[in-house]
Amino acid sequence: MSQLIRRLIKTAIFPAALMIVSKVAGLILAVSILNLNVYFANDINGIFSFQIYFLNEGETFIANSFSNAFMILVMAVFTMYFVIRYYVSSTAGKNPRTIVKLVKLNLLSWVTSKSNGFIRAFVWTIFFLASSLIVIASSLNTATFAIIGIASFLVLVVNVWLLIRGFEIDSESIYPKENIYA
Amino acid sequence: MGINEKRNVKKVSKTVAPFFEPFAVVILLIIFSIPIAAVINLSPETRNQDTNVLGVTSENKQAPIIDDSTDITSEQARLYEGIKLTAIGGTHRYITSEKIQEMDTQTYKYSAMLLKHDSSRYSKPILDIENLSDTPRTLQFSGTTETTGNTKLIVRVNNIDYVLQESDGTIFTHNILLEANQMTTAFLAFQSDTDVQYNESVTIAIIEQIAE
Repeated sequence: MSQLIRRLIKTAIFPAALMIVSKVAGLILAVSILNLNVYFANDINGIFSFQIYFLNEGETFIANSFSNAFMILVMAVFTMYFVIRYYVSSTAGKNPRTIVKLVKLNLLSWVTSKSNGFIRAFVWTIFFLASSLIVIASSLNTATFAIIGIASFLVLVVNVWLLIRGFEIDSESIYPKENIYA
Repeated sequence: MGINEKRNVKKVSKTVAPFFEPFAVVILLIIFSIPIAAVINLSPETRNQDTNVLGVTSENKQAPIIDDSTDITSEQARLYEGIKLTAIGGTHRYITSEKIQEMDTQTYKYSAMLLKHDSSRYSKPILDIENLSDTPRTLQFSGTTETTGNTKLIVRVNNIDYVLQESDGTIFTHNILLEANQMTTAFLAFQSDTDVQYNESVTIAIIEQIAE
């Protein structure tokens, strides 16, 4: 088995679990904090045989919004952490000021640690992308507050930009631009 | 393990590893797709509460149903085949939305909503039952909650507990004998060993029979 696939599987398990757990936790929080009446059913109609439902549209909307917001928040925090860490470690090699700042902030381990790879940032971004798409689709279907969909889209754009920029900087060190040495 | 054995193991693993690679890719795809499917499935929806736990309706939709549903708080008495069922009504902290439906001349459906509650036993009188005939009659009780988790469902008649559903989901049917001209009260009781954080509906079928 290739090292890459093994690394991907190893890295993907935690964000996959966290995505489900944060959605469930968001629902539990919504139900307990807002004191909503939640029901469960086992209709064997589609792919899934377990459904969560509420008796009115208002409660469904609130619970869905709350759980989606909670999931996006948790996923965004982790994804931003790994993507920023990757971006900083990519730029540190080219910019001594970055290293000085990292030393001042006692974050030098971000650059020296072996676990600051592209794969981790990439996997988290993929899961954040999936979460965001679900929330954006839900917002477009007016099943979630629009502001949550917009916020997740903006965070997604920033994450993807940082990831791509970090990857560009990394690849420039392997394949330098032709005009650098001209 | 000797050096030669280690080499052999390495050689074998190098030969076998490529065969497992497609499975690893499938595992990777599953890891990526499961949370997406789960989150979509966990998105709540709006629905009426008349959903059967097995996804199969418990009502025969082909048969004509006389929908004679009445709010139990009304004083209206029911008189069929010698048995008189009178809804008691009233309010209860955890038993709400009580309703009685006549399914046919000898079958009735009692339904109610059990609100989320702490672990304990709760009960409420639901029906006054009177055998107006001069012959003994039986009433067959069977019932269940919508979600068969944790809640023990009991009908109490003549100070005897008749368990309709055990907390593990096992359901029972009971025939309760009513002597000629006997009058009694049926209580609905439910019991949970742990706190229940959600509401659940309960349905009890009551069938009148002539005692053998």
